[in-house]
Amino acid sequence: MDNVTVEWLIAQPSFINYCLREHEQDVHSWRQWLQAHPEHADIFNEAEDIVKSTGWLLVAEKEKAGAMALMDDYLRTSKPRSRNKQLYWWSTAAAAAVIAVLVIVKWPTKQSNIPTTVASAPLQLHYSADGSTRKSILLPDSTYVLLDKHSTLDIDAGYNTQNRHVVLNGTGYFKIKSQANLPFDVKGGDYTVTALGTAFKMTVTPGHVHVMLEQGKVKVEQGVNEHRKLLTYLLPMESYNSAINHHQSKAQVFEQTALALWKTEEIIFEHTPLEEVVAQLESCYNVDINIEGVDLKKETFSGKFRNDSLQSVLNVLCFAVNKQYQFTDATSVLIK
Amino acid sequence: MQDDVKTWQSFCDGDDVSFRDLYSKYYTRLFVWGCRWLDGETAFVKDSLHDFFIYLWEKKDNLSRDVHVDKYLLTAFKRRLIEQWGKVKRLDNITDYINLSGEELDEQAIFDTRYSLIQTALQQLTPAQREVIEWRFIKHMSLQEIADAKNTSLRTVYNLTHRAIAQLRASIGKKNILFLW
Repeated sequence: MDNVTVEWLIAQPSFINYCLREHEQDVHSWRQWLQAHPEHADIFNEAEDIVKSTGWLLVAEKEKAGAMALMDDYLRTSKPRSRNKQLYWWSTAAAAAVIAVLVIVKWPTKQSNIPTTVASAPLQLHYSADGSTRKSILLPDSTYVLLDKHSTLDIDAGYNTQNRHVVLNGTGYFKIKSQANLPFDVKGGDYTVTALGTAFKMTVTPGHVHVMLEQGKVKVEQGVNEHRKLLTYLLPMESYNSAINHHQSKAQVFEQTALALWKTEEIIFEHTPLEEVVAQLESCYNVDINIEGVDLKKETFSGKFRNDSLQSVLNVLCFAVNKQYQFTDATSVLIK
Repeated sequence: MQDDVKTWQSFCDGDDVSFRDLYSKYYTRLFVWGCRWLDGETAFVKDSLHDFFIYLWEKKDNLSRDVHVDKYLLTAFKRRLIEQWGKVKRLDNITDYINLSGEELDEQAIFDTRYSLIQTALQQLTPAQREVIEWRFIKHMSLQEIADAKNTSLRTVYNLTHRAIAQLRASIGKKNILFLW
């Protein structure tokens, strides 16, 4: 053990595990090794510091853009608003049980038109729906996503730990679990829409964005990182279309019917866990569904629905799981 | 450093652009220092850093205009971070942890020069190297998990990781006894 160097240590996968405090066995082994070789303590500590600090620096660099945007928000709003108001705003977002988002992104057909900032973002997971069916996804934070045909969704490597960034290509419906410390944002082309306790629809075409807010609040920005320019905040049932509004931040009113129709246009389950079935039905029909006496993670359901009413879907679902449903109020369903 | 003083004084006079410049300039290094003090509580450090700068902005009228900016930020941030951590964790006797030791102040002096070396080193990694390092150190994915995600062999990921870390180490210099950020 005379040739113990920093290089040798950091080349050992088990040593990295020790530094990251993963795999109890490795942590235990390296603690024992250090006790047995106190003469190498300096080198050991240096190697551990390199591994840890590299991770922290990388985290810091990933967090910085979001932190700068958050500070810009604060500076922008601190003039007319007090700090308490700002914090209240975010705590309101935390109080919301769930928030839903519908996003439609139409990428430019030419690859060269895609901003490199989006394409170069470090990505962890890639989802895609082919031309035949929509695809439903439950993200790590229980955010539900319904991807339309010919659409893709990329999830940032730090999703649900450092951030909640997603990149959409095509059309998607998002029902977001609210987290005050991790705002959810969708990038589409040069635009970013940040959910602040919210349900909204977004369409991006080359050079333009169209956002329709269903409930809550959204912030629409253009640009990248600290160069982001605030376009507008929207109130429920308001929309913003850059192609029409140009440089104005004037909101328009829209009808919710079109959004509701899109959501129920086609719902397909194929051996889908009931947990996802419930999430999708709740999102599409804007109701809360509780099921009693069924293991939502183990039981699955298959069925195809096109422009069907909620009652029609519930009839089939309840027949399949041998249960009955009842409305406990206008937007709550109990299945037992 | 003289520029920092001018920026600081301008911020004290209420210039939000200067304030923003300070936040941008010191964000990463204060973040890393915070993680060192709290041994990797990144989420808490992130929130505390934001709150700390908002605190500075709100108190700008009462701040001393004649400060050693980097030492002041480091010391003041550590004080608030440890105090908040103590409250959250209901710790007693946190005072012992708050004051910066002479050793740490020495570290901070070295930090300025080392910091740029590390950032340069990270920038010199190939995209593939950077990706495996991020997955390994931020997502804490195992080499096998990275290999599965990249649809490549374990040996390839092992080599990429090893070369990346070795390059970081080489860029920063082997003469340093301690790796101080």
